[in-house]
Amino acid sequence: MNKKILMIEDDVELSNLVKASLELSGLAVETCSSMGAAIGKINSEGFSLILVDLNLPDGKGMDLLEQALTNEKNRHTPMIIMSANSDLSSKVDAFSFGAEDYITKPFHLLELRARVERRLAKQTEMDQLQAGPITLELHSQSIRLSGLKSPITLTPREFKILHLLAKNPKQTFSREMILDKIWGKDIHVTTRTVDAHICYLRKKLDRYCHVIRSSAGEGYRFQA
Amino acid sequence: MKIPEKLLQSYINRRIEELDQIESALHNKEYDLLFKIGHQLKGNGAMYGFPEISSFGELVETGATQHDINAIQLQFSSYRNFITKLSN
Repeated sequence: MNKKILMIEDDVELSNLVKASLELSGLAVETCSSMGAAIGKINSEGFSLILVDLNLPDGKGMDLLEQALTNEKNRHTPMIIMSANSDLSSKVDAFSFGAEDYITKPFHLLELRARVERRLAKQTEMDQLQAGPITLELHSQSIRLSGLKSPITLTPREFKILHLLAKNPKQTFSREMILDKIWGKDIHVTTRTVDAHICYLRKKLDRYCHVIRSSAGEGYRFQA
Repeated sequence: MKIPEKLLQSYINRRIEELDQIESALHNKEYDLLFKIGHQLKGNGAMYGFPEISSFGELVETGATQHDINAIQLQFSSYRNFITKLSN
């Protein structure tokens, strides 16, 4: 799947050049030249990475960082500032507003590409948990099974249960512990609810259903 | 990456068109516009392979901030010559 980048830059010539360079790396790049247009995109689409200029015609890039970080679709999206401001306070402000990186214009296109690729690779590592034949994709809350191309969608609770078990392999969780961690203390559901969710999960795991093991009277554990 | 010819030509054409805009902004002491132009030239010149444009951009940006039209005017004619030669 192509990674999709949003670039917000009002210097159209610079934007065209950076877009051409990143597309050579197989990345899909969408551009906009104002904060207003960018907010519309950020609210409606998820991006793998956002490149932002600090000085936009209708606002400051910093405000855009805040908008993106409070938006459900993009709050985990790394943001890189591209700016001709090389002063220390601009850089410090950008990081304090949540930017992951800051590159000063003019920059070498290869340097930007290297920074973007590294951020994307790191994002992928953080976004995935590999547990035996199962890949959990945290951002989309879906899983991929070894040998199958299409992702499998889980309900939020199914995903949370699988994530809890998979990131603590071989540790047995009692039904009460699972209830407590996934549903919370204030919700009154019985331990049978946990069993029902495990049953649905196993069905979705298909031939890998055995990775969720039952320990008689104790609970469940993940073992690939 | 070799800059695609189409992008390079479009960049140079834009710089030629911009010369009159800079001249007019200098004449009318439009500091905000000069700052914007200078800031963008500073950022994009060297990326298109023209560090001279970035240097001029920085000078325009500083001149606009300090309201020092003379400092910009002193360099403007050699910048104009540079851009005109690029287009030939």
